[in-house]
Amino acid sequence: MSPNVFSSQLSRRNLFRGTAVGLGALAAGPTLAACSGGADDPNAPAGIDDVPKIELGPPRTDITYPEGYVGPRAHDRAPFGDGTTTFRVVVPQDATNVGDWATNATSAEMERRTGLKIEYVPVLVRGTDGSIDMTKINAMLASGDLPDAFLGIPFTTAQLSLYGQQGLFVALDDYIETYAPMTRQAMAEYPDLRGLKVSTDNKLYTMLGVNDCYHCRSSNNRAWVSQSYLDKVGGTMPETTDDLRELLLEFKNQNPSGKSGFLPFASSESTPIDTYFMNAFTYNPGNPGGNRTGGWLRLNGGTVEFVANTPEWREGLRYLHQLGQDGTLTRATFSMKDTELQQNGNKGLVGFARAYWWGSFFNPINLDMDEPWRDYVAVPPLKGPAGVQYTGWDYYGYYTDALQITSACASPELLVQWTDYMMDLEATMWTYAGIKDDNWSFDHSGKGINGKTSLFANKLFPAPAGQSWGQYAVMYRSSDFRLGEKVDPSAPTFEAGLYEAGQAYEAYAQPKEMQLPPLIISDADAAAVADTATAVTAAVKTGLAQFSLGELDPNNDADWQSYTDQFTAMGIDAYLQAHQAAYESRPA
Amino acid sequence: MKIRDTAGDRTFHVVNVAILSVFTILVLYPLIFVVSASFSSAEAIANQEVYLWPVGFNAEAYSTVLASPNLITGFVNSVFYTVVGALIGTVLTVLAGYAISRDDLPFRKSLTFFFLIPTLVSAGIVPTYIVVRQMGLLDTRWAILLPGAMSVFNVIITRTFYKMNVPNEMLEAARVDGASDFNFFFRVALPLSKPIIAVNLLFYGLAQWNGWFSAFLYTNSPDLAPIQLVLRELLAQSQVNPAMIGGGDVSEIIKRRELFDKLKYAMIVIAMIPPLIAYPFVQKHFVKGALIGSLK
Repeated sequence: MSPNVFSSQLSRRNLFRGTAVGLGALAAGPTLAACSGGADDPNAPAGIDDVPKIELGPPRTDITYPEGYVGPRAHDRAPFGDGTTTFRVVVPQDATNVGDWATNATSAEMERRTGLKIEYVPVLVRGTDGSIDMTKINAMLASGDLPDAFLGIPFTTAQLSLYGQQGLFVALDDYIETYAPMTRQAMAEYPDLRGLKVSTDNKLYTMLGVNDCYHCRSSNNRAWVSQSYLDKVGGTMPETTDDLRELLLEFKNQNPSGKSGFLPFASSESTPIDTYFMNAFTYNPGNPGGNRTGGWLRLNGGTVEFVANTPEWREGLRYLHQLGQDGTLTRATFSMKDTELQQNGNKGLVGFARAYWWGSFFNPINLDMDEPWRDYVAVPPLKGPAGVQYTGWDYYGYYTDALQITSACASPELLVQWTDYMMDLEATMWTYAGIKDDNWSFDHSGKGINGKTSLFANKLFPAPAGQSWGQYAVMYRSSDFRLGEKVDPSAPTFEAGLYEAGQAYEAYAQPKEMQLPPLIISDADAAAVADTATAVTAAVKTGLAQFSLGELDPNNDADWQSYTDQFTAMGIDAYLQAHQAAYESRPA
Repeated sequence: MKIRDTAGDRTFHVVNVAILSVFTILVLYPLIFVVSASFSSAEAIANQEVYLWPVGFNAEAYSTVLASPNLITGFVNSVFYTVVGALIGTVLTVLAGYAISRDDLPFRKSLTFFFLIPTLVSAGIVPTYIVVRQMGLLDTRWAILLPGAMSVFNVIITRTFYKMNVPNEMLEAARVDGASDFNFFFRVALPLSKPIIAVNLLFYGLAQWNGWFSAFLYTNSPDLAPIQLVLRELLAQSQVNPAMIGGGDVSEIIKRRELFDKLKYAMIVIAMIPPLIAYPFVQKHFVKGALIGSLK
């Protein structure tokens, strides 16, 4: 069904809206909530005047969705661009996965499907250590060398808010209301989505994408143990902090590997260990880092709280201190380089590891069934002496960098439709996996990662360079979509294994009200907050190592006092107030 | 007749050879290690089994490099930027350096000071970007060659070189013989400046060969990228930590990491070869030119 059918009959938007809602309800159930929910709300976006609202037609019938499926659906949609204008879109440079954007197979397919001509401007946005480097993007913005849009560029919400209010980026709520049915569906299915990207003036200066990775929600809290070493020392899967302490001692005393240099407990300098252990004493969100708000902050009945100076934290330090005294937690735990950890893993020297995934302690790593990484199983959260048993669960990590339209763009509505089209099921498959039927196909013949009927099968993933857009598109990869990938039971992929691992943690997730959502700190406070955040991060990390290794004693009141006093000296109170203010004033 | 070395001479030789050997090993070992590692298997490198000779000998890394269009284009581009950048830079520097070395140049002091301003105050990235953009150089080869084409440091060295080696008396003698300024420059001063030309070519050539920032900032087209930018991108992509990106698919991260582990040593070897080839040819001029120019 083409939405343009209506445009000749009705010009007034309000008249049209009634019709469209009715048709939309018939056509695509999930959008109903979004439309009717917004109708009575005076703050709801009004849409673009005199333009009929675009609605999705009925989903394609050749695809069977798993039971209870929430996520992208495939629709037949006619091209809307006539190819007369070419849009300049800045994209991240990535020779390994995307190759040349201009000749990429997905770029050609998107042009064929949407009719929109795009000139891709690739920019390198990562430094040599993998960190985000926005030098060139900043030079473009500051010099007025504006493209029509930015796609997949890692702007923080604070930057979106700033550039949007400066008029560099276009506010998109009304455009989405009129031109973006798939985005509206995603916003209805993920009610928090808009709030994660909205600016301080309650406007949205970015399109919205979803990449909801189930296992990533607990990825900062996972630990692994070698099943065969566990069996060798006659142990069972540890359930409490005391169990783990004993297991590590057994590992140390019996050395199940039989090789010298065995590490009962292994981790690397880039891996925080407090996220695993402290959650047995109190809910500890850790330091999510990157562009998220400050570390070790949580909500307690709506009040922002700092975790790393609480009495419960001290109990946790006492436990780690014990491990240090046992000699199972050593200096190497805090200082080991990532590559050293991988070498130790390769040599079979790792007993228990606090790590993101198997690839953190095996390199190279592949999917053969006899690969040693398959021996390592996830250790569920530990129960502390006071019965506390949490895992830090990230309820807000699923947004993507998506797309921003600049004030230089003459026809934002076309780019909005282009972006919206990327959230279609088939377009999402294309952008992330590449050429249909060569690399992937719709396949309902097996079981997906979550055990339901599969939605699609990947034959070749990641796609060879030049075929897909990697992870840079505006995707709608909902959890159900991602878990609908068909699993070959004879050779399960990493994602299948990580899903199982993630399940061991979900039951212990902290209540959602305890997690501090991503916030935008006001400009007035931003510099001071960033300074304090840096100092706090250093102090917590140093304190953790010093108390664990016995340089400081958590049982000594003077040591503990001086540890907590340094946070006061850093201005933790003002820091908490700035976060509290940002939390309370955030647009709902 | 052969004179026997005294005990003192012999001790001197032994100590001399020993110390020089240590230095030679210090310089040579990293080169040998990198070459060996580039011919070793990825597993051997990951497990640090390579010490001196290749372990699990194979040339797969080089065949991957040769099959990668970006790296080939980057290499060819880098050779182009190096040659053209060295020529442009050297011509400008010799002209400027010679002119401000002449005592009879009007406003010589002010001109020299004018050259020095950018070394004291630098405009920063955004203003420079605006200039390059307004001149219409964005996304062209000129954006890599022209900004920073001439280095003030080199101009000062060159100026001092001319002051030392082309004294006023020589100019006066040539004048007596009826030489014009241009005649004197082309027939007397220039033939005397081989060492400083060699030094300038090497400095500018090396700077272009090692440079990535201009290309990173001013160009978008992958066809213009020098090898250092291609390598930088490969390195950046391989370092992305799964914990840093929400929703990253781990198999994509492994793909990057494996590619980088496989290629890194071969890439160092390839990036190292041209300077290694060029050095011996300019080296004999190097000491003369750079030291005479800068010290006195």
